[in-house]
Amino acid sequence: MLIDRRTLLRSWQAIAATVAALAAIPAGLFFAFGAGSKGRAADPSDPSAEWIDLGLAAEVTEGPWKARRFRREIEDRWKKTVVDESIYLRRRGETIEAVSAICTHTGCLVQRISNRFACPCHKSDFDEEGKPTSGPAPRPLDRLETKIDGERLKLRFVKFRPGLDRSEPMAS
Amino acid sequence: MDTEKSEAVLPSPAGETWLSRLHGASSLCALVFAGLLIGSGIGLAMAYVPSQAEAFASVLYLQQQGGIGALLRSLHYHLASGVVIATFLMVVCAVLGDIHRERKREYRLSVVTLLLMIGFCFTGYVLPMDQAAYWGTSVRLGIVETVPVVGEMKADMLRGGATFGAATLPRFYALHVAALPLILVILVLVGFKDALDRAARAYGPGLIQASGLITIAAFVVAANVQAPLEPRAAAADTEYVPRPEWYFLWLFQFGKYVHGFQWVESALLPAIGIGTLLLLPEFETSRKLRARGVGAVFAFMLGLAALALYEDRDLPAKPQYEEGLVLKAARDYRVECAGCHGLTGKADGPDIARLESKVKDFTRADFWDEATMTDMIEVITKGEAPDMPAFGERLSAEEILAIAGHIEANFRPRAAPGR
Repeated sequence: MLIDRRTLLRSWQAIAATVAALAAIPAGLFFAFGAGSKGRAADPSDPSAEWIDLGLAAEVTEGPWKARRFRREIEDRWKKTVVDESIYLRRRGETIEAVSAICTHTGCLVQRISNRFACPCHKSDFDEEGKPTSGPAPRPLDRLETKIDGERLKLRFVKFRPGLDRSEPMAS
Repeated sequence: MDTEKSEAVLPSPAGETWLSRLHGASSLCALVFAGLLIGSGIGLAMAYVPSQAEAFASVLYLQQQGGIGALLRSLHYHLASGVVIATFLMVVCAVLGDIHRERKREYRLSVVTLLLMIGFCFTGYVLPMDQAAYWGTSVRLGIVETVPVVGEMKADMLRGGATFGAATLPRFYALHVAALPLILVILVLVGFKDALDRAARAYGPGLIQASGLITIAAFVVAANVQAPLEPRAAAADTEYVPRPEWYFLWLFQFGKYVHGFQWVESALLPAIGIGTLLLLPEFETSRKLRARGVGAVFAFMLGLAALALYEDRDLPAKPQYEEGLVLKAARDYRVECAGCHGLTGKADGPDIARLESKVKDFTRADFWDEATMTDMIEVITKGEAPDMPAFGERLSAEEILAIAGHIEANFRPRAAPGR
């Protein structure tokens, strides 16, 4: 035999490893940098960030936080699409406050249970002001900007990264 | 002759310890399961569409068609659990016995295989896009985000952006059906070549018979126990209570206790586990010590999982798609319709002030004189100018039918007795 088995085996493995690497490079590149991983900007103070109409401001009455579901249109890569979001609203005199329903721990949606917000996932609790009182949540529930425009209630909706002790907006 | 070679010839069925027998049996199961998973996966891929809009519908279609499609989905679902158990058992047996020292390379590759299997579970779980899939994956990505330094980047890569969107499912799908299987096949054929040779020499045709029996057993289970499918994912549903699959329950429970140091859960714990397993062959350890270690890990996991189940003892069972339809219709009506049509169907919702047209009153008999079920489904699906929105893009035909049914059942005036 011209070439012994060991050498052949070694060269075969070398070729296989090369082919595997060749496959991994373009796939890995796309995985890391491809498909509109568009920047993480999304500055909440960005004036172009849209105000979403939540209906008549008068519908939000004094009293405890109430869940509100609304719909917004987003540009999602190659298509415009409509997504549902949940927030909590309450009226304080002339202003209406909004708080994100997304738990700051891992991103489940918090529920209203008696006088608190409770996350059904890892049992984080938040008080009336959204401050964590027990459980693993690292920061208070995120406040959202609202304004009353004539009779209409407007909201600037931003999602924030879960798991951090500071509020960091994510690009949508 | 080097040691790798001599090992390849030496072991015979006689004189094997029960540990190495169990190791062999679980390896064979893992191998057969992997084969069946690839086969059923190819079948599923022929029906599945990895898009947010269509994923759920395509899985539901497959499930409701019954026959071979539903069978393949159940097979794939149960084998996914099976292959994790088999691979885990394989690693545990190697740790308890001497395999981890005698065949270091094989042992380490089996640890890598276990990680690969968890990767399959992670990427496959989201694909049906039911409630469990969406929420389980959202939470898990939230945990990935907390890995120090690279976490955010990794989560963004998996999602194809900062939020769960149009690019997400194709990425999970590509990993699940192309990248990971390719790695697995190369790993088995190249990494475990000697082990396969050895097994074939030791057991010969017995292996084929055993594989056949395992396959039959898998099909019997799949034919009798249907894979679960919860209602379609709803990203704004504050009433849904997300829970992980059974094998992640312990980690889920652990997450409740980690306050402020989430990287302990997302990075430190996995790093310690994987590191210990990979480095184990380098250290001289007694069988007793290893048995204690494995016992402690099992006690830790089972204890946490039991605690998680105990804390959830009052949690109602997750409704499956069919039962969920009725519940969902009631909720959809409350959330989507009641704003205008009113909670009691009397066209007295709070939003009617801003509408241009008059809202239909479902409690009037003359509405029902004209409306047929077909009309209602048509209007809900396509909307009606100027105010009635179209729901056909976001709800399946069945969900719309269920809403129409909900309206009919709850608001239609009952005919007077005797009529």
